[in-house]
Formats: sequence, C-alpha cells, structure tokens
Amino acid sequence: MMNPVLRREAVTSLRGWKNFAVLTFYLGVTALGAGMVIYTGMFDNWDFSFDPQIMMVLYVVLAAVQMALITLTVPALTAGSISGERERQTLDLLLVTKMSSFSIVMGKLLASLAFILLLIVGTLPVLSLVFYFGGIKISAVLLMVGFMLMTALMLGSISVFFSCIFKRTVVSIMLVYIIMGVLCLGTILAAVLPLAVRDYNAVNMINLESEYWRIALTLIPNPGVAFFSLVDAQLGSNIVTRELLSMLNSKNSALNWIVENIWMMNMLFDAAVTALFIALSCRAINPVREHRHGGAERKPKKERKKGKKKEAV
Amino acid sequence: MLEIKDLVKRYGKFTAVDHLSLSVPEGTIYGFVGPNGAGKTTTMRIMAGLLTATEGSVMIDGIDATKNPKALRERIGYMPDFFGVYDNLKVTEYMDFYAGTYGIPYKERGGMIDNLLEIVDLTHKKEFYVDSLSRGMKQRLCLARSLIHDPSLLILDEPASGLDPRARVEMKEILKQLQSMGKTIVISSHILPELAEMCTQVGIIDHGRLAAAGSVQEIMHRLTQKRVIYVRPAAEMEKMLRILEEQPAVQGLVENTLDAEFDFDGTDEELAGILKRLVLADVPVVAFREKEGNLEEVFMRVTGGESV
Repeated sequence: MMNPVLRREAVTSLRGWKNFAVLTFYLGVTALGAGMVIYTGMFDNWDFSFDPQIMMVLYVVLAAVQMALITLTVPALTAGSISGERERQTLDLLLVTKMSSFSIVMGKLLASLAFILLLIVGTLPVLSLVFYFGGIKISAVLLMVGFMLMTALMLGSISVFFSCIFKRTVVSIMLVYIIMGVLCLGTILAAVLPLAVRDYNAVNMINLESEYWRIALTLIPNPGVAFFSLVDAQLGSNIVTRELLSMLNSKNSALNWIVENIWMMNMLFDAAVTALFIALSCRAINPVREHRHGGAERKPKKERKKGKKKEAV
Repeated sequence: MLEIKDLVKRYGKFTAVDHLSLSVPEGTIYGFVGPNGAGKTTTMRIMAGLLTATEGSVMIDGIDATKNPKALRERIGYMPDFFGVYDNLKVTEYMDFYAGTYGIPYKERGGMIDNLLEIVDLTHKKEFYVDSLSRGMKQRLCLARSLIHDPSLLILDEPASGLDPRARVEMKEILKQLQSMGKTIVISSHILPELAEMCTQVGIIDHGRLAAAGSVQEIMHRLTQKRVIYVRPAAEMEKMLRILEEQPAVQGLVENTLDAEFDFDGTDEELAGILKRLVLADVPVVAFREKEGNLEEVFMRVTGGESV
C-alpha cells in the first residue's frame, strides 16, 4: 500500500496550475538551451560535421544546473514539511493514527522531494540527448541522476529534522542553508586554510601523509567537489580529481583511490547522514518515545540538575 | 472501559493535571467539564497518546495507554479542540487519506466513507473541497474522520466550541446516535449546561483535580443543599401558596404575579409528593420544574467562582 502521506501530496500538489507552469517553464528552458547548443554545434561548421565534444559540455552544464537547482530548492521545499503540518494544526491528527513515525517522516520527505524528482526525471530525455548523439553511456546518465537524488535526500532529511524541532519554517530554512554553506564552502576552507597557515610557518615539520588524508576526508562531504569528481570519472575530464591527485602527490594507493572516487565516498556520506537525520526526525515527532523504552518522562533540565545535587548530598 | 489513576502532568513547576482519577464505564457519554486551563485538554491529549504523563496510568480496555500507544490508537478516535484541514483536498479524498493512515484496504474504503458521511450528514458535500466547508461541517467531518477505524472510545475535545446553536444541536444528535451504536464517548466542554443534557456521567475538573464526578443529578444533589423550584398555576394562586407553606421541605417561598418560586431541600420523591398534593387539591398546575441556571451555579461553586 502506498504511503498515505505521499499519496495525498501526489493528489493535491499537481492540482492547480502553479506546479504545472513551473514544470513547463523549466523543461522549456532546458530543452531550448539544449536545442540551441545542438543547433550551434551542427551549423557552425562549414561541412555540417558534428563535434561530440559539444555534447559533453551540454551534459556537464545541464547536470550542473540540476545540481544547483537541487541544492537551492530542496531546503525551501522540505523545511516546512513537518512544521507546516504543525502550523496547519494537522500534525496531531496524523500522530494519533496507526502510521509509524518513520512512515510519516518518509512520506513527508518523499512528498517534498517528489516535485524535484519530477523536474529531474522530466529533463532525463534532454540529458539523454547526450547519449543519443554519442559520447556517454546511459548508465552514466542514470548514475548522475542517482547522485543528485542522494544529495537531495541528504539535504531533505536535514531539513525535515529541523522542521520537526523548530516551530517556524523560516528558522529551518535558514539553518539548512547555513549547513549547505558549510558543506560547500566550509569544507574547502577547512581543507585549504590550514595549508596556507602552515606555509607561512614552514619551519614546522608536518606529517605530510596525515595532512593528505585530512584534506581528502574533509572534501568528501562537499557536494560540489563530489559532483565534479563524478563528471571527471564519467568523462575523463580534469576538473577536480587530477588537480587534487597532483596537489597531494601521494603514493598511498588507498588515499589515491578515495580521491579518484570522492563522488562515491560522498554518496556513502550522504546515505549515512540521511539515515541519521531520518532516525532523529522519527524520534523528534514521536510524542510518547520515552515510554517505548520503558523509561520515565524526562524532567526539565533544571529539575534534573537539582535531582543530581540532592542525590549527591 | 477507561480507567485513569493518579494522573499527574507537570510542565516544570506548573502542574497541569494533579492526581486525577476517574472511571468511564462502557457505552456512556462522559462529560469532562472545567474552566479554561483546568487541565481538560492535557488529560485528553494523554488519553490520545499525544502526551506522556509525569505520573499515573491511563488504562483503556485494560491496555496501558502510556506503555502501548500503538494498541491504544486502534481503540480510540480523537478529535482535538483546534484542528486544520488540507488545501486542495475533497471530502472523500480527506476521508480516504485517513483511512490509509489506519491501514484500511482500498476496496473497503468506499462503502465505509459513504456510511460515515451519512452519519455526520455530509453526503451532499462529498465532492466539495474540505477547506470550503463551514466550521460546523468541518467539525462533523473531523468527527467522521475519528470514526474511520471504528474505535470503541471517542475522545472529543470541545467539539461544540465555535458552533452556532443549530450546529450544536446537530452535533448532539450525532453523538446520541454514536452512543446508540455502542461507542463510549468522552467529551469536554467549559460549559456544564451544554453537556448536562446528553451526558450520562459528568466529571468537573478544576486546577488539574477532579472536583466532582457522577451523574448530573447526583452532583447537583450533593452540591446544592437547596434546589429552586418554579411553579405556575393557571388559577388558585392563594390555595397553592397555602399548600406550599405547609410543606416542611419548602423554604423561601417567593410569590410573583403569575407564578412562584421556592427553595426545596428534600428528595425527588418528596418533590413529587408536593406536586401530587397540589393536583389533588385541584390547583391547575401548568408548570412545575427545577429552575435552570442552577447547573451554572454549581459549576461556579465547584470551580471556585471562575467564569464559565
């Protein structure tokens, strides 16, 4: 049986013209852009020869636009999922039903991501043009879509969690964008800044190998680095992977493998974060969670402290 | 059916529910009355599994509600005091959604939804959008929603609040029908007379404590030493007053132009005896009844004079 929350959202969200208009506009712009690239590629040459390299550029640009779309819109779409129910005064009605906290959280998360999924799936034919004209395998296109979905799930699960614990949707949106900023820019700064500082203090001896590991591991959560690492892996291009390999210049094969497959490590990281935040969200919305484990209700902080002092006496 | 023992709910230093104990037998309509902020909603939310109790237990059909919320949810239908509805959803889709949340198979839903909409008299609105319904209709729809999994106990938090008199009457009729279907109903209100007419049992809650419990008559009898009786004869006023003055249970007789009132301190049988004497003495009694408004006085007295 389909998740009732997801089913309801599927029924209501496509009612009315707004989402239909957004979908049409987005697909129209994407198709027009792709069409222009192909047209230019075909008719700019005197012999009407077609350069498959152009399709590669088209693939990267389209995928990058989708990735940007996900990172920018997912927080806004999901941060109101639970707090919206609370504001609308429908959350209690949902919590008294037989639906488990997990079903409610997953229903809300997937329902919020459904529209983004629709946009991504809607543009699949355009992305597949690259496949049609040669240059990239369909499995690579699907892998790219999978990577985007994993990123969307990761951001969505964090948003849903904030939506569970904060009453106001705006607070949740702000916090998710801050976390996204930390993931996209903070990780790069964290990887690079210590190097710059140490260069100035070159007298200090540093363990190069552990420094390389630190840089590689710090960059794993970065969605941008992971995205271009996947592009590099698919197209053999040199956007981040080879740059990083030559920068680190390590002979450690395990480290080099991680650098070459940052996208894969990133997907694993995203999966772990998604699982963690879904679990935390389930805990946050379950009104009687304490008793499930047979424990008594938690007292307010102040009372707990007082209790400890008394026990100590 | 429902057994609450020593229920306590504290928010920091504030005690919302203070060692509340009550018992609701199967098939009754139990009125839960108290002024705003008395702890009615908190108690009902604990019953519904939406809040944990600090101390005490809530047993429904022998199941500890605080320890087994899943089993509890199958047995109770809950209607909160304030609730919202989803946009862009038709009445049947709304019901279908909640049927899904209780895991009711698709093929069973159609007939079940039609029956419930008929009970709450919303069949003619089944293709309307939920957010376009009036408040009274939304209340009735929410009641139908709470019945979708055929619960044995209904917990209704102020279902009549904000309704116009006609909608209140309709709600009362529906509740009576549900009682006849064997449902046990716990219903809250901050207005005692509103519940008195339809409840078999009433519990008055104040400052988180149960101040009085029992049938309306029992509570009245226990808490009022004197009942005010109104009597109107078509004629023979003098004769009527003379007979009344002779009765030892009659005190403070007040004579008006067309009728009279007196304080009565006695049993129902004694009161019936007075009426019989008047009739046998050929006094043409047109009206002989306990004066309304006493319920509110009782309520005010029990709840320490807070406004209703």
